[in-house]
Amino acid sequence: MAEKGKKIRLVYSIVFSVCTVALGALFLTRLWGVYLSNLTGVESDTYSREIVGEQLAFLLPFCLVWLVLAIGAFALSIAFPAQEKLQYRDDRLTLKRLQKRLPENFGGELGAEREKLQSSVRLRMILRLTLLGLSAVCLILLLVYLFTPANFPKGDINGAVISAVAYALPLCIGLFLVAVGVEVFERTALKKELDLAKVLAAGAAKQGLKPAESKEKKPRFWQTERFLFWVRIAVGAAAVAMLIVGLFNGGVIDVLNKAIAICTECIGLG
Amino acid sequence: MKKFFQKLKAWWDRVKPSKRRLIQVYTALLYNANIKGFITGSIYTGNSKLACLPGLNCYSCPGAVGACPLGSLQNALAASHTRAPVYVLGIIVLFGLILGRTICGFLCPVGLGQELLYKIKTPKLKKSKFTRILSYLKYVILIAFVVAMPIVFAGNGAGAVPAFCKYICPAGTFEGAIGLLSNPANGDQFAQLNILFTWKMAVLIAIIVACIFIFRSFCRFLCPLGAIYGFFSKIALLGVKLDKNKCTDCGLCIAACKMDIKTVGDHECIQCGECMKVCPAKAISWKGSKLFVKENQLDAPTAEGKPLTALLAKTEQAEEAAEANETVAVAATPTAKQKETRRNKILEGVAWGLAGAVLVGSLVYFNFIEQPVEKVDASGIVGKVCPDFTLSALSDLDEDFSLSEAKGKVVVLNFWHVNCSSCIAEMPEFNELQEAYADTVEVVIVYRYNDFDHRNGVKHRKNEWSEFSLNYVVDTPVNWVIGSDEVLEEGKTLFESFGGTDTWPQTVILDEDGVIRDYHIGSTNYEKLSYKVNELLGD
Repeated sequence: MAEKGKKIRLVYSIVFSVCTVALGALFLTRLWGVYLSNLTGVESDTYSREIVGEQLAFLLPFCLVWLVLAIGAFALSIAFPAQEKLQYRDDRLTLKRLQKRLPENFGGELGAEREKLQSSVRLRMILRLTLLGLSAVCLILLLVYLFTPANFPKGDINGAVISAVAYALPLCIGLFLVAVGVEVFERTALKKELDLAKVLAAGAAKQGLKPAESKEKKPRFWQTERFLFWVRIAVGAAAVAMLIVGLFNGGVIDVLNKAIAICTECIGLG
Repeated sequence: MKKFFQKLKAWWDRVKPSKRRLIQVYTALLYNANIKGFITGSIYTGNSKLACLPGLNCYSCPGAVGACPLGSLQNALAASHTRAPVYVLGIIVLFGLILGRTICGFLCPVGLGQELLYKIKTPKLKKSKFTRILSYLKYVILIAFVVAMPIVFAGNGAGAVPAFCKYICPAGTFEGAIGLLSNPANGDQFAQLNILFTWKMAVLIAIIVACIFIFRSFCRFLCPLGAIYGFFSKIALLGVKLDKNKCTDCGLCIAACKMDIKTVGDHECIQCGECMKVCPAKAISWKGSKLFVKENQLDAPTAEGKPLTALLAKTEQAEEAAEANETVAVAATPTAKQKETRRNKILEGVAWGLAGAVLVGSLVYFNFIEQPVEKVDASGIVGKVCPDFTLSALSDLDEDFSLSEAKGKVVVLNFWHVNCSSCIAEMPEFNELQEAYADTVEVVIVYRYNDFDHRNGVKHRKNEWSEFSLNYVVDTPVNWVIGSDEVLEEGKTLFESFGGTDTWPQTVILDEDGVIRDYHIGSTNYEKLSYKVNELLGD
């Protein structure tokens, strides 16, 4: 019965997901349809209550169907409740725990395995630092572009923003792909390191080697509570000082003036 | 019957809202306490909007009673050429220091909306290392849209361009646009909708669909406010903390958390406290929980000779504490234990009582005591004779304007504000109109406020427009001659009398006899203006 319920729930949820995405896509096409139904040719007449009402009325039956499906999904979740699943286990933590149990010195074959493990860890570190360096370079390029006034002429705000996005997008996508590549490599390397660590732990246990005594690390001064305390005091004092200066230099009135008027740009009215 | 009630109780225990959910709903109501704004279709214009709210809540929402921190920050940065944006920065730093990303977990209406959407029963996309990489996108958005663009556009004379609000923010579209447009009283606003609205609605729909499948997708990947508060994770006074001495690195907290954290309490953590329920070592607690638990009580030996900390996992009290996500002092004697529990329950009751009183008080104040700003039906003024008025010159280079002196000419009044980029963008259009119709049309540019603090910003604009043949005046509620048709009211500015209480730019056109012939809210251009002027001159 539980298996059957699981199958029903799975199939239903797939159908419901497809319907959800389809409804979202339908909304988007209707939205575009509203913009295209520009009958008068005058930009300010693109939207009217009649045109919007007509386009949205088309969506009503689909919304009702979706609502019924949503209620069905809810009912299924009560009839066949699913167990809350964990998101994912971080292999790094497993490796960290294993490494704590390893002794400092190994002899013979185990020594070579230990070397392999450490060089793999070093390689991962180098890759991460390379990624960090690349990120810094991309950030600098982005900042240079963003803070060049010529790239943001006042005559064409939308165009300038689109150009900025077009400039930033390849940088972001490139960096994302490199990061994904590093993560994929790390995943493979971590699996190998875990296997090595397990072999070392088993070997150490066989040889009767004891794990290294964990030396109590003295926290650095920026990790101490005292340092955090003084940072909080300093930041708090700075915040209060800024508030007081803001009250006197008129910044508070700027906030009020902006907030009590409808920000037509903020709400998409242009 | 007993079984039925037991099943009902079990079901209720499973689905009842947690304290965190109640706090989220509470803050969403408190932020939008001006419920009558949804009925009247206008936004709140009272002084409580001097203060920024901690979470993301558009100030153009009809119910909003405070300012949005992100919108205020962008506008403050845009005005940084004339005034240091210290007020908004100070507020945000203070929020970050005291609350950190607890705001995201407890005090943000957008976060609440996303979590409710996630409850819709569809397959969910689990987090992974790729989503962790993607979570850095919000920092790019923070730098580009919130910081750089407003500063650079303002420096180039384009005025305040709140780029994040304008192109990305779903709160503005949902709360502001839909909140206002769904009210029939705002039917005239439809004329302003264009490609930008289409884009923003598309972004809103994409975010809504994404939130159904991905936990808090906007928070994790797009929200710059979360990015800002994330900087304060280490030093924030409130939030979760990990006791490294008790932590066994089992990783259950990270595995159970739906945010892209690497450790509990890092910059991605929204401090919701859900990880406390899964930690087997009870290594996660709330910061400040030691205010309720004395250090020496925890380590005091019991009758069994073991420290209390060792017994925490085993006692009933600890189980209750785990459910309530609090560390409770477990004293050696049952009496002290009972007293501690009772004291905490009383404190909690008092806190909820106070919070309830604040909410009820706010709802009563904003909806019944505070007087609404009367929304003048602007279309009603078209066709009426405008009585004579005088507006003072903005500077020594301009002249006072009296309507009586312009009789025989078509008068075009344009109301603008120094922080309004649309107003600034359309100024050359009015200049072109003035130069094309120099003999027959009087174009008067009316600055909304006779506010000396704005003079620096206005001077900056005037310098740019030094070659324009426009006359700049200031709108003040003085020098009225009250007409019999009561278009103008004593004590109100011209802008308010024409119905311009909450949006700009606005353009009013009077014919040669001083009759109001056209009233337009929003941007315009030379073609539309000249078309109208030709119509009037032709008459």
